[in-house]
Amino acid sequence: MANTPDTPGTPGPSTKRTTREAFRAGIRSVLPLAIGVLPFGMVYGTAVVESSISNWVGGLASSIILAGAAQLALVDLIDDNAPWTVAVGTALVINARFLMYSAALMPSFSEYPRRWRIPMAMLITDQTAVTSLLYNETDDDPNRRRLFYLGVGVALWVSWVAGTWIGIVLGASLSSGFQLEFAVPLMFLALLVPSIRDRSSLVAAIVGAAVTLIARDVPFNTGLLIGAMCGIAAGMLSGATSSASSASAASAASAASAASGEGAVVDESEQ
Amino acid sequence: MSALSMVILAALGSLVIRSALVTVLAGVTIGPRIGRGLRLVAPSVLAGLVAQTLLIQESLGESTGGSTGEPVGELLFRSLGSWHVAAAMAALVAWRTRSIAITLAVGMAAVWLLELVT
Repeated sequence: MANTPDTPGTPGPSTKRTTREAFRAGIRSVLPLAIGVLPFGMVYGTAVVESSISNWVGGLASSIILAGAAQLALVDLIDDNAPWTVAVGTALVINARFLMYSAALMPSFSEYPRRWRIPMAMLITDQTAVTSLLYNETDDDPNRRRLFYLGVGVALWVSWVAGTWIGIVLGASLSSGFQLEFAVPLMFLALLVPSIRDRSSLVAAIVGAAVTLIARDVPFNTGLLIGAMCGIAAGMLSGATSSASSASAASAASAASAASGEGAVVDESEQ
Repeated sequence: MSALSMVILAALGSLVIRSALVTVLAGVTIGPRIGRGLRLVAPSVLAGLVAQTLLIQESLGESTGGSTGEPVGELLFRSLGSWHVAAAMAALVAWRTRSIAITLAVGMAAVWLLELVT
């Protein structure tokens, strides 16, 4: 039986159209973050120019490491002539949080063809993980999930690399009056707030932040990792002891979200 | 070791970190308990990153600590100022609107304005 392209329900063009739409939806939904990544990239690019590392090596790092905090530490440590084990080790400890993100993304990654998994994992960042985990709660279709993730990841990669090179080219002429550095905590904050949806996530965030601050002097930048693990443990404990109140907090958050206007990234429908 | 080799090593290591679980454990069913824990990864990691980047700043100390993995300068709390106020405003907007775009716009506008008037 011949497949007519326009017959509703046939695979092919219509599926392609929806997946293409998912890719575009990914780019659209991450656009504000991609714009926010630009100044972060510029801050990093400026750090490269001010260091002893050649511009092209610093720029290459953005294309293949794709992790702002780790790259800033790496450039800093290379510039200080730290041993390579310390420089690379510190960058990897900072990136160890990606292991946790990949665990959270794993259920949806398992639905994707095997050949896609490694290239897609290369794009895991704070922004891709949070944006796609939120999207995955609203869409069960593996194809659309994958294309959405790719849209998000590619847009952020382009923005990060572009921001880096703008920073490298403009370098010292970027005035500190622009407060570009503030874009870094601001972006993490903009991601954090929508990810707090109930009591246990609030406890996880408070404990995570507090322990990270307390453990700030722990060598090799492991404070963040220790803080994150304590935050998750505390959140799980609080969830176990008060599932009833957490459910009511979630419904309150859901009501607040429903009342909020356009542009909301979070869909609370699952709660 | 050259800077280029260190960048390549860090990239390879990061790839292993990012892809290890999704390739090795793909298809493994996750229990509800672990699933709950995984949902808490984003809030706890992001809160730690906010705390680190907003509240802490490295003092411009002498470069002595590189070889031991210690921070190069001393890690101090940032003195209270426009960053804190702008971040508080952005957090309030994020909570009310749950929109990343509006949060980023308000936060940057606030920090610029506060820097102008102070």
